[in-house]
Amino acid sequence: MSVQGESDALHQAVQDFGANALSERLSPSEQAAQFDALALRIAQYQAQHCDPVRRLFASHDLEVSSLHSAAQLPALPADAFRLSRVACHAAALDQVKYRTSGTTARHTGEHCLRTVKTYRRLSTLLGKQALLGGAEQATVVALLPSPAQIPHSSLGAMCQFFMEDFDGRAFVDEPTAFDKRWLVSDAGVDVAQLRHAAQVAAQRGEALLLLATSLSLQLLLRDHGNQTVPLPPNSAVMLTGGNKGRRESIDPQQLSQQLCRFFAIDPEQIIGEYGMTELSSQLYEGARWQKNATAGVYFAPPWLQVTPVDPITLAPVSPGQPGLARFVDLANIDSALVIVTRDLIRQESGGIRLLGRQPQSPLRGCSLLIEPFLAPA
Amino acid sequence: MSALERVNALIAGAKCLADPRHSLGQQARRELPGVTGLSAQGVQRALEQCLEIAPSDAEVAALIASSGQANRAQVLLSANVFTAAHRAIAIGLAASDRVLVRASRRSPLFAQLLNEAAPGLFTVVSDLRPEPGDTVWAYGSDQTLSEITAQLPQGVQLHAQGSGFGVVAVREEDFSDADWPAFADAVALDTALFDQRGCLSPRLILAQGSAAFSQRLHSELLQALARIAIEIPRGRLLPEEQADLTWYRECVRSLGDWQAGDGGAVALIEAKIEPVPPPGRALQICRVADLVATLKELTPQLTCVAHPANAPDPWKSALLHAVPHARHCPVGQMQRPPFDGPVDLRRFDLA
Repeated sequence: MSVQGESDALHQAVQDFGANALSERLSPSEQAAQFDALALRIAQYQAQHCDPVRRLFASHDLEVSSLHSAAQLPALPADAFRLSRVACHAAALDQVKYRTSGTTARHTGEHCLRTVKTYRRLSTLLGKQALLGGAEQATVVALLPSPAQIPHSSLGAMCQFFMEDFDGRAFVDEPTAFDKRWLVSDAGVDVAQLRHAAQVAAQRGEALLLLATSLSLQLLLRDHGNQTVPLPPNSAVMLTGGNKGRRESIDPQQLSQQLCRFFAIDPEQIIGEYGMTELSSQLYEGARWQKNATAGVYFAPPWLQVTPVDPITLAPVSPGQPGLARFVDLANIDSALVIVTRDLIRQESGGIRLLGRQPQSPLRGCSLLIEPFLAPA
Repeated sequence: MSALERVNALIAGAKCLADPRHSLGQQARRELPGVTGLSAQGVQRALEQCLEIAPSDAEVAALIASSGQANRAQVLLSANVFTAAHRAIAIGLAASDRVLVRASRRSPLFAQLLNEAAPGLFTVVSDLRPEPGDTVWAYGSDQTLSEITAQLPQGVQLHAQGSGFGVVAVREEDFSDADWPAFADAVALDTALFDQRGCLSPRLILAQGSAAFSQRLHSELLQALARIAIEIPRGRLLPEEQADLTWYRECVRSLGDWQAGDGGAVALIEAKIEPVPPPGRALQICRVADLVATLKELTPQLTCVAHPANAPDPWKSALLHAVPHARHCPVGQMQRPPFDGPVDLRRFDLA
């Protein structure tokens, strides 16, 4: 089988597994067995075709054929996406290149996908469950710049998928499809268009799904917080971080309260999303798709395993202890299956709670720990 | 007291700490390992070789000239290189007869010992409160310095030294077989001192030459780190430092060749200068096609560029020209710059 043929077969297998598992057509033991089998097939494929993965496995003296579980695979640090090309295919075959945020080219990572079909299918399958709560359709807008302004954003791409798959209908005279759904520009947040979208949703008798980052919502409240834009029943606000490394200027609970007042919604209608450029899969808070969901606890789909690991040994931590987030993402077929990040998490109630970034060691050289140096006034 | 008298008085105090027979020297050897995390041998070697107790008259004159004058000097010390307190305080004393010193909360001992050894010269304080007309010397990360700058009252002069590291620049054509042991041992010493936490500590070995040359470097440095670890065992690393090493190791494993031994680790990566190793005795050999161009790219981050002892003068001149604002020295001397002013020649001054 050719490399592309092998890749296509894996993509199909992962999509089939994802669809079956998400619709609960597999028993837990079937799901676990199929997950590991697929993971090891993907790992074998990547060990042959993806240089960083091949080198990592070789350095660990690893033969994938001798393994029986994805848990035994070493994890690639997320920084690898910034330091080299993490892909099984040649650059000429890239369908898309998603880039992490960074201040310079040196600080920007790239995730190169040969095809977005699995990313699209699985993110929309999961998004429909986690955000629409079983509804088939919603009016979808995004508090983001248009894709033309952020062409390398995986978040922007996912929002576009949601607009096309959950909505797909124009609601204004738009020169191009979905032009007016991107509500952030150099002029700020287009609150008039947001209000219009809410009215269209109400006229259609359906929910509005607003896709937003924490920062864009703070911008909305900063500039238009003296207004309200009530949303139709069952609407949802998908809230994603998108501001790693920057200090939150508002407490998350305070943000939630202000958003509930602004949109006339309940806290359960604000649904956190956790993803990153280096992954093809996402996690969501469970209000609409998990029993006994707790605010701040994120749940992974069946094709994604998340484990907190010790920062020094990279072994799983004891239950309830914090650790670095280690992901086994079956949808990362043409890049790296197993990734470890510097995000700190803790397992809780069947999901994970996000605890921020791992504290960095004292910086190199003549450096101080970051601490206030002036006495308080 | 004149500036010269103040600085000389401090040097005399430092001599007490360097002296293993002096009670303060003994106290330093007894207590510094616990607060610095360095091994007892690491503390001993740092006191013997890195504490500047015999600078030349010309060096002291240059240090005084570099300090300017201040109404009152306030010195904010870092934690990573305990002997750095001596130079930092000397610079403050050169500028003013009123010197306040705030030591790192993590490791205040050496400043306190210096204060005992040279009583009345400066005051150790728990917090600094700069006022207009004061001059502040601060040593810290770039982010810390930005935060400090934002908080300073108007009229305060700030001299800041931020993050940085050292590199070793080597060309295959400058080596013969006989050169290897001395070269490798010298780099290992530079690395082992302060367990590589200093802003002068080497982290990258930029190698211009064949793949075989880089591989020889890899092997020789690994063995040299093992040898130096017998004399100067690695001390205790903080959990964050251990975690950083783990992260770095796994990154390198996906990029190139990682070899770890009893004394430390050496990575070999082709044509790439990142990631930069964290402290803990990890060196990274970067095989590059154009060493000078690579140095220029790294210039903003470099505090020290070291060369083999027998490097020809034209090559040394080329290195100096490429990175004019760094210390330049032979390997083995990276942690012993002249006592002629701040260690870091990249100055960021804000009035």
